[in-house]
Amino acid sequence: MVWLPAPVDRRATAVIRYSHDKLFRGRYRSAPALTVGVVWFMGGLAVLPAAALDLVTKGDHPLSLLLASAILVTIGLPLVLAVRLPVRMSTQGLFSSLVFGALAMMTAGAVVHLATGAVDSVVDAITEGAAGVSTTAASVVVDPSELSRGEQLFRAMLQWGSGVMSLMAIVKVFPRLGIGGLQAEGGVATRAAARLSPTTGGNVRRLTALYVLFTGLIATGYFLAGMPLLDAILQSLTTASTGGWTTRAGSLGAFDSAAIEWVAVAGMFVAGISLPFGFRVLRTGRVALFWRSYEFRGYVTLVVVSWWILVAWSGDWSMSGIRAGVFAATSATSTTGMFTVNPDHFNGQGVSLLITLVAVGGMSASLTGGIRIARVLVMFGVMQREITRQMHEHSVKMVRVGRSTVGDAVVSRMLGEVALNALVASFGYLALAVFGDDVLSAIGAAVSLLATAGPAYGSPDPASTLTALEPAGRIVAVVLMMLGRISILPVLGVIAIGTKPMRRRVRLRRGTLVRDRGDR
Amino acid sequence: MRIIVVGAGEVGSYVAHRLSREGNDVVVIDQSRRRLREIDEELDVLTVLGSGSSPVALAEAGLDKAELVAALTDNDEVNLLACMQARRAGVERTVARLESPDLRGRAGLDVRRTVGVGMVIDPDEEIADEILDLIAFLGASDVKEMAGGEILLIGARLGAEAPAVGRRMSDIGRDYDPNWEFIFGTVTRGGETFIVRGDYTLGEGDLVRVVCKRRGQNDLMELLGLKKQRVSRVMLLGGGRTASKVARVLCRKGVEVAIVERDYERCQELSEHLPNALVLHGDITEVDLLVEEEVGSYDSVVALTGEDDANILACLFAKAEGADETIAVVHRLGLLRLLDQIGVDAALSPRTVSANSVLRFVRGDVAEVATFLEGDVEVIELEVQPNTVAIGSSIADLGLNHEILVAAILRDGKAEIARGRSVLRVRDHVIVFASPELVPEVHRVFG
Repeated sequence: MVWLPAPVDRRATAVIRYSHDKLFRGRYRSAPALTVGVVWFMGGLAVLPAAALDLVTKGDHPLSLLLASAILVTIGLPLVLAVRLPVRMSTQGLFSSLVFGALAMMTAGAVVHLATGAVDSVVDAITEGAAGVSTTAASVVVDPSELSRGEQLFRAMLQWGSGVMSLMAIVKVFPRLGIGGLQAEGGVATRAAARLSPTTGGNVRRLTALYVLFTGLIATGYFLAGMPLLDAILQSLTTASTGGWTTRAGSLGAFDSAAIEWVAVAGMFVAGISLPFGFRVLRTGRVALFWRSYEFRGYVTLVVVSWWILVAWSGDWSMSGIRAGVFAATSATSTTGMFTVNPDHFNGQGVSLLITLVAVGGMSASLTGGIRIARVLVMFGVMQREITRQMHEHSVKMVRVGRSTVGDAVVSRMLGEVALNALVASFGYLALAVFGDDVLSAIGAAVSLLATAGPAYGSPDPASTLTALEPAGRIVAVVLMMLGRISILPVLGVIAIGTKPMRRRVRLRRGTLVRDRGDR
Repeated sequence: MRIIVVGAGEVGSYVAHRLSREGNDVVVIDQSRRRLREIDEELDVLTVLGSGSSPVALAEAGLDKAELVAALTDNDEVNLLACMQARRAGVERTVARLESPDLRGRAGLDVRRTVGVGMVIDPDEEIADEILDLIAFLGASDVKEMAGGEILLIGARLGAEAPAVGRRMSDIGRDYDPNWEFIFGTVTRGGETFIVRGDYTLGEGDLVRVVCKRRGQNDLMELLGLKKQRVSRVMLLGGGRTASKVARVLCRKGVEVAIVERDYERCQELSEHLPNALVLHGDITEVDLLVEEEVGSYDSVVALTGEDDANILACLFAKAEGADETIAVVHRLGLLRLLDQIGVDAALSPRTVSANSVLRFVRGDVAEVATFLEGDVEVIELEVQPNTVAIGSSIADLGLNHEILVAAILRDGKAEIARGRSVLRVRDHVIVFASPELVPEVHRVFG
C-alpha cells in the first residue's frame, strides 16, 4: 500500500490485521460452529459431482444443483475460516458438535432438495434431508426414478456421508457416553476398550478406509450381479451406510434379480458388524476372532433364527421364499430398510418379528440403528444379576457379555438409553397415530423411524411411511429419525446446555419467591 | 554353605530358620530393624539392615562367598535385582519370589534368564495348591503328593470314631500284611512329634502322618475315619490372590464356589474374573452374613484372609453351623495349639509351603520336601545315589537312627511301602521321615 500516506497505511494495516486476527486467528473458538461450517462447506462441494453428473446425463437440474452448492459453500466457508477448534474439547462441545453437525447436514440436504424442486415444501425438504442424514430408507419422493441422476447421486451421498459422521461419533463421542463406542474386541462397551490406534485421527482414518473399501466391494458385487454401473454405485452408497434408499420405487425388489438381492444381503449383513471389530479381524487375519465375539455370535444367531422363522411362518420354502426371508431378516436387523416383498408376506407374526428385529438392530459400533445387540445382552446380564441379588443379598456380580464385563456406570447409561428409546418410541407412536397412521402402522413406523430403518412394518404399503403422514406427522418423523441417528443422550445433553440459563433464571425467581415468603 | 536370605518376612524368616537348623551359615537382609531384632533373638543367623536391591547391603552380607541367594521379599523388582547382583557376583543358585503372573509365566522367561533366576516361588500359588489338595481329602490336615503322584502323604487328627483309635501299630500292620498300601510315619501327641513304632497304640486326638500308595488311599481314609465324598460346594472366606486361584480351579471342576470379601472393588474384580463363582460383599466375621448364606451347608469352608483371628473365628462358626470341613490359613504359629483344641480341621501357613520349595532347591538332589506346621519332622524324597552305603543293603541292615524312617520306595515308576527287608538299588527314590538335624545323615546314607 505504497500509494497511501504512511499514517493511513498504518491504520489500514492495523484494521486489516485486526480483522484478520478476529476472523482467522481463532478469536472465535467453537466446535459446533466449526462443525456446521465444515458440514455445509463439504456438503456444497459434494453437490458438485451431482451437478456434473446431471450435466453429463442431461438431467434437469445441473444449474439448480450448482446454485445449491454455491449457497452451502457461501455459508460454510466463512465459518470454516473464522472459527477454530477449542484448545480442549469438552464433552458438551462434542455433544453440541454432533447434534449441530447432524442438523447442518439435514438442512444442507433440505437446501438441495428445495433448489432442485424434488419436493414441494420446506417441511418435505427437511423431512427428506432428515431421511438422508439418518440413513433411513423412507422418503417423501414417491418414485425416486423420477429424480435426475444428479439428484439421486446427492441423495445416496447424503446417506453415505452420514455414515462417515457416524464413524466419527463412534470414535469420538460414543466412548464418552459409554454406550458402545470404539470397542475393537467385539463391539461391547467394556471397561477396558481396545482402540485401533492411539490417536483419534488414526482411528477415523482406519475406519473410513474400511468403509470406502466395503462400499467399493458392494458396488463391484452389484455390478457383477447385473445392476447398471451407476445404479450399482448409488446402491452401494446406501447399502454400506445401512441407508436403504433405492433409485427405484419398490425398493431393491424393483431390480427383480436374485443375484442382486444376495449381494444386498451380504452387504447389509456386513454393515451390521462392528466396524472397529471388523477392522481388527481384517488386519490380524484371524477370522476366529469373529466367533470369539459374543455379540457377533448373538448377531448371527439373531439373523439366522429370524430368517428361518420368517420363512417358516410364510410357509414358502421355495428358493425365492427363502431368499425373501433371508433378505427381510437381514434388512431389518441391519436397519437398512430395503425390502423385496411386502412384509405381509410373512403374516402378522412375521411383521411383529420384523419390528422387533428393527428395534434391536445390529452390533454396537456399527452403522445400524436400534438399541444394538450388545445392549440387549447387557439387559439379559442385568436380569441375571438381579435374580442372583434376590437370592443372595450381599452378592456382587458384574454384568457380562461373553468374556467381557461391563462396568456399573456403563450399565446404567445403557439402561437409561434403552429406557429413553422406549419412551421416545411410545411418544412417537402416539403422535404418528394422531397425525395420520393407523395403530399398527404407527407402531411399525415409530419403531422403524427411531431405529433409522424406514419402512412402516405393519402398514399395507411399507414404502409410504412418510407420504402417508400429514405435515405435522412428518415433523414428528423428522424428530424420530434424527434422534435415532444422533442418539438421545447427546440431544438431551445439548437441550440441557441450551436451557441452562433459562432454568437458572427460573430457579432464582423461585428462590426469590421463597425468600420473600420467608421474610413475610 | 553360606546362604543369603533377602527379606525377613513370614516366608524369609521361616526359610532362614529351617536352613540354619541344618547347619548352614545364613545371613538375612531386611529393611526393618524390628524384624531383624526378632530374628536375632530367635535364630542363629547373621542379620544385615538394608534393602535387598542394595549392592552395599549384599556386599555386607558376603555376597562373594555365598552359594545361594533366596530373595523372598514381597516386592518382585527387589527380588529380581538381588538375584541379578548375585549372579553377577558368581552365586550359582538363586531363588526369587515372584508374584506377578507375567514374570512367572512364559512371557517373563527372558527377564528371568537375563537376571539369572534359578528358581521361582510364589507363596500364594503354592498355598492355593495345598488348599486344593486338602479340599480333595475332606477332614485331612495335610496332603502332599510325592514320587510323581504315586505316593500320598496324608495327615489327619484321629476322631473318636476313627477305627484306628485304640489299635497298636503292629496289629494294623498285621491286618494288611503282606501287601501294605500305607505306613504310619509320625504321630503328634501333646505337642510332641515322634516317629511311630510297632508298639505304639493310637489314641483319640493323635495327629498322624501316613505315607500311602495312591491305590491304598480308600483303605487309609476308612481307617482314619475320613469321609469319602465328592466336594461339591466350597466357601472361601477372603478374596485375595490365593482365593482367586483356588476358586478358578474349583469352578473349572464344576464345584459351586462362594467367596466372601470385605473390599467392594476386590469383589468386582473377583466377579469379573470368576463368572461362575458367587461373590459376596461383607466381613467374614459377620455372623448374619454367614447365616444368611448358610455357611453350614458347605462341604468345605476355607478362611484365608490375612487376619488369623478372623480366620479362626469364621472357621469356628462354620464348624458350629455344620460345615463338613474347615481350613484356616494362619500366620502366627503360636495359634496352632488353639486350633487343635477348638476343632478346626486343617491349618496352613504360607511360610511352610514356601519353605518346602526353597529347601528342595537348596538340597539340590532332593525331589520333594514336606515340612509341617506342627512338629519339625520333615518328609524328604531323594534318589539313592551310586557308591553309597544304601546300595544293595536291606533297610534293616542300614542301621539308621531310630528317628529316621524309610517309608516308601519308588522303583521304575512303581511305588512300594518300605519294609525292613526291602533292598535298595541305584536310582531308587526313597521317602524318608527325619528331623532337620538328621537330614545330613540321611544324605550320607542315600547320597
